Amino acid sequence: MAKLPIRRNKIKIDLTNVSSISSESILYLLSFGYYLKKKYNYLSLRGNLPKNEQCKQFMIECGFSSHVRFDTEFIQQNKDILSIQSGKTADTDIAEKVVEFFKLKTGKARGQITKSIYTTIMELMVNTVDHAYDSPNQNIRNDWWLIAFYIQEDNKIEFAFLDNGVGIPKTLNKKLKEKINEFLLHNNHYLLSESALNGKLQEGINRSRTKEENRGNGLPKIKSFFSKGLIKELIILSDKGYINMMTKEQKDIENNFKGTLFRWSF
Amino acid sequence: MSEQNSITINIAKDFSKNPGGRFINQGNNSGEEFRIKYLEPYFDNLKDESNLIIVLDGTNGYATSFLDGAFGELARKYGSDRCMKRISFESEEDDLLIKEIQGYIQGAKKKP
Repeated sequence: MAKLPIRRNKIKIDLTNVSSISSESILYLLSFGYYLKKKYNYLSLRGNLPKNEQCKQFMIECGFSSHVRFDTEFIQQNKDILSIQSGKTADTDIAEKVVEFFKLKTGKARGQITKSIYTTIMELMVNTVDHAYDSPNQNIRNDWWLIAFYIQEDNKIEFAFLDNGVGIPKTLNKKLKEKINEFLLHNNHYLLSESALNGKLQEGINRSRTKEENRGNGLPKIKSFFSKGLIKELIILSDKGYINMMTKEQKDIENNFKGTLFRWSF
Repeated sequence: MSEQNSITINIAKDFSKNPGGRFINQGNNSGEEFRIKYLEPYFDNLKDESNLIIVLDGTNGYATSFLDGAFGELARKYGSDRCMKRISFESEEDDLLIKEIQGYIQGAKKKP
């Protein structure tokens, strides 16, 4: 007879002494909290909010309290923030919701810009779902997390999309030289992420781990939107690899980042 | 080919203005769902030689996996030549989109 998994009580995120936090950090905190909850079979994810009033307000406005259990209820009121969205599928309703938020805030009509936003979000969701079972623990499906902000002074929207998968470098079909470099140096993640943005490994062979035809086109599509100016300020952080498309800064960071973060604006 | 043998499929109006990913199990409005419901019925019947006109405008956008899941996979199943011969595309909103889809069809190898 199969052993029933042990149900643990709760994970508690203590934010009492946090005085400043970015939206990307909130996404990462939630993503990692949910990952641990599933992996170690906890019943709930609970938390408290910072003492710092400004920081507390920001976390409420981002919708953090909708994803973590609190003793009191909070109402998210800031209309310039599309609160944290999350899912496990390529959800067209949420991609449309982001486009509608963009149109409402910037006053732009449907066109190449809104299409590039919709397509970028769909590509990222599909990537997450595609690699859902790349995790060593096959029972854990990846989640994606998304947030969008309207910055009134610049009339622009900032987007952040995070998944808690294994990261771009581990999901690529690699050249022998890249495999050797990865094994010996452990420091070529940004190069691997960059090559995924460029697409084909060589003529007829794509970068996708599946090695199937017409795969691995999503990231090159996002790069093409950036090249055409349809999305701006694109930053990618995956595993150890960091790429800032605008400043052209590329490097490997010291610590492993669990998953992939895309940040861009328009 | 005569006019009455042409069938127009408007993706935004007939299927969804929010196309999804590649496979049905990945989420709603997938390329696989579109292919099975709207394209394969015209290819399953070997006597059916109707010309399909696919109108691409009016959607919020297309993920590459939707396009390959719909048209690339159709070509892998029924052959690139047959698909290229029978399907034509219309788009006034994105002049590169038709070439991209044709690339997926032409690049597909038919499954044995």
